[in-house]
Amino acid sequence: MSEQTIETGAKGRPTRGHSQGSQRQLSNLLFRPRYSLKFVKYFIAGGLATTFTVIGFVYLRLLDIDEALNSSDAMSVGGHIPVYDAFTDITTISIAGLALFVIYACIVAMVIEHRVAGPMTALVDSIDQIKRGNFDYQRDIRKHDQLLPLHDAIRDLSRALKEAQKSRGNPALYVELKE
Amino acid sequence: MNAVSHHAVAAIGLTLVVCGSLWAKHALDVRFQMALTHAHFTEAVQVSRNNMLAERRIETGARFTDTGVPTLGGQPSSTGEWIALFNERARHAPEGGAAFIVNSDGNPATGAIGVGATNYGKEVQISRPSYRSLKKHKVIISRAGVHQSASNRIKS
Repeated sequence: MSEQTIETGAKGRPTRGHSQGSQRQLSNLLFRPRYSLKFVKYFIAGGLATTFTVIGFVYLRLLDIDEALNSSDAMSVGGHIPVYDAFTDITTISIAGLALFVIYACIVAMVIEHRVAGPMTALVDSIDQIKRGNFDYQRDIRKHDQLLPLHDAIRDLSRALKEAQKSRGNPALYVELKE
Repeated sequence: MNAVSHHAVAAIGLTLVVCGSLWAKHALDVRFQMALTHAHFTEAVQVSRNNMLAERRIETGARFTDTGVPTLGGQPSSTGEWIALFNERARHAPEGGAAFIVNSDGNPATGAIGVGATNYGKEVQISRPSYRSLKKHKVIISRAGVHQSASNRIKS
């Protein structure tokens, strides 16, 4: 059996070497969709859409203010009311946009939490079964869950361990895992 | 070619959001300043018109206006007195300086309203300058009424 050198960190925890590609790169953040949670894009899209919608409404009301200040009715009694109405609308739109975004953010956060925390429980359960030597245990998760690739990998691992157990006939691997 | 992650979209979007928000804040500030200049202008017109109306009431012997307000009289006789009447609380123009100045056209740089009295204060000319995107607006108020100057049709 070949010896494997494991690098250790300051607290004695094993760390991966730089040769294994553990360095964080900006390109991974910006140009590799596999390094990001897919549900976050809904959060980003919602935030940008809300902000630009609010800015668009504010722009339209600013144009109304310009028109009201330069109209022939500006000097009449109550001519300033459209201006104050526009300022009130801008305040209302801004507060409403902020409130809508907060509500949307809470909903998306709950969905992301549900899509991550739910399958994580299932995966921990699957790993526990593998540790006990039960390689046939399967617990499916929803196809849109965030941790689906991890679930598939654990399932493949379980199959591989099962095949290894069959080929070796009660192998040491099983014992090592139990230990 | 690598697909663009939504993190890149977020980075670009955040930049646009910051720029858009700063623009909106600046545009809103500008409209507040324009509204302030316009408020000074309309207030001066209303005050001078009411004053002229009160003077006419006194001349005709009426001691109260149609709405029951006593006609106190005391019409300003110079530009300085008119400005003192308009600006009792020493308000400032949006860009600083006095809100009302002795100038026939006002000050487009500060948003100050121009006031000019003629005929011993019996005729007062009030000018809103072409401040920001406001159009120049000039009215002449006398006991005969309010006259819109032709210059208010000139787009600044």
